[in-house]
Amino acid sequence: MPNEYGPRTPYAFLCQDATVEGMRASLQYLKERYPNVKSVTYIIPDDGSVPYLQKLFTARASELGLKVSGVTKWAMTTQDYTPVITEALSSKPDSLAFANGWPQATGSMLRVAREMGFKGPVFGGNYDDAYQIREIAGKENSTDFFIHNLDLDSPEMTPMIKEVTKRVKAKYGDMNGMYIMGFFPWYELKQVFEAANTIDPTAVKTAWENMKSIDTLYGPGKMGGLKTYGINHTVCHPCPIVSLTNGEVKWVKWVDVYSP
Amino acid sequence: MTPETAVQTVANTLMLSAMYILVALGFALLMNILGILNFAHAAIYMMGGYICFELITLAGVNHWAALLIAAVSVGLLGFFIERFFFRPFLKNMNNIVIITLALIVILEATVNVTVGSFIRRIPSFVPGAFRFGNVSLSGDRIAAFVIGSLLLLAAFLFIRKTRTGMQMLAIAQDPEAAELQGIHTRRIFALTTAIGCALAGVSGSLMGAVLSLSPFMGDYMLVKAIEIVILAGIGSIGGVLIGGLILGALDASLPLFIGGSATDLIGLCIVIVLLLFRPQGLFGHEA
Repeated sequence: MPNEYGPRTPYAFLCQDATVEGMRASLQYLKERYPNVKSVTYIIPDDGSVPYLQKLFTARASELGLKVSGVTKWAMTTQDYTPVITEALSSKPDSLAFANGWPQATGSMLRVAREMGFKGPVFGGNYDDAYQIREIAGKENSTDFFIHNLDLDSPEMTPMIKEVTKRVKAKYGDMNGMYIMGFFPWYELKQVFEAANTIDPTAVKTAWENMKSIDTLYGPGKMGGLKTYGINHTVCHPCPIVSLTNGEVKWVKWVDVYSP
Repeated sequence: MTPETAVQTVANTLMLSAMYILVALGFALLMNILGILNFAHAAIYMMGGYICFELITLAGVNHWAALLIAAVSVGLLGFFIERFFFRPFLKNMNNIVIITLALIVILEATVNVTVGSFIRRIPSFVPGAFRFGNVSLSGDRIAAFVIGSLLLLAAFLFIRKTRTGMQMLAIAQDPEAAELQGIHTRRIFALTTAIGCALAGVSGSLMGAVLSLSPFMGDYMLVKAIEIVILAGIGSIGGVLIGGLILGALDASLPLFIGGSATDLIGLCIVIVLLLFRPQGLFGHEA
């Protein structure tokens, strides 16, 4: 959101893919995996971000040749998503996109969409856990769905992710993606401090802005974001995609995403 | 709005209304008969859902048997709650409010600490979805509709047609006079609380399959239950049907026209306007 990150926050850097990057990755994969899909309806929680995200999502969909059939917003207090999905499906989209939310909402909406007979691809642009989504949606409804998230058990994870996973499991016996996300910005900050050779905020800011590349847990990254956010402080890196196919969680691929 | 969407919305209204009525029924019973604003209804509803979930997934119990056991278990919990949390404070309703708020925290924290806050769902009671022309309805929602309707009818008939129900009505009118007439008020209080909690247990179990399960799943549903009881009017169990239908219609149709947070706002404003014209609720009695 502009008041959280943009020209008015000159010392803020986006270390890791947010909703916008996640949706970019998902839309790119949608075009690749479902080339016959021509339209999408966005379903966004009404947390104040709808006008902002709607503009960005519509622009990206248009770049990929997708028509935005509609934008449906839902109240944060929603328990039953049937009216939300009824409204979303009324514009007869080829696909449904859930932007933001949480696993209970995403899983519930997926379930309702499938129970209402929608057969097209459904995807999310936020980091909801695919296993939780499947728990809520039910295995029978968990198909043709993909989301921007990790599959820590996949051999396709980067060496850094595998190392962090191994260490966390050894120490705590349990692991989930949140540990990776917590580690992510610190790994980048380390490189930035070394590039600046100081921890002085102004010098660090300048060094970071001028870095040509930066390593991330997800692979090589580069700076971007000037056109999208109004400030060149976004670390753009490959984004993970995971799918639910016939009730099974499957790793799909890394998608290269750049926010210009 | 296309005809297809309109028909689906009517179906959604009926399903949503049934879900709300199911949740509100137990709350309405305690409110109308005992005059107790049982905020803990939210947590008791949640407990019913978790008991049902654990019976089905851990113990492998049949769904419907688990539903019955959950209802009975939570009903027994109701006896305990009435004896130790309500009865000592019946002379001061303000204390009852505080007690019920404390109960929410105790029960939700207990589940959060023991079972965890990972969002779950009770496996479907009636798997799959059914198509009726252009309308799709999930099996679980149909089950909730049928069971909710039957329970509402049963509650209405129980209170109006049975001796115990008449005694409940007598206590609701004047507890002292009822006692003087030989009605065992403590026994009726305990039974009413147990029945109210059992109804909460049934609704928690069904909603845990229709929606999802979390330690805080009852919080927002409690708001709906209070709205319905106030709309219906104090003293009216039958009015719960109309209150539920009004709320279900608002929540099912407003998202199609407005969407987002405005649906909550407009819905509540409509309820407030209704109460401005009829403060005692649609079927309540003037003070």
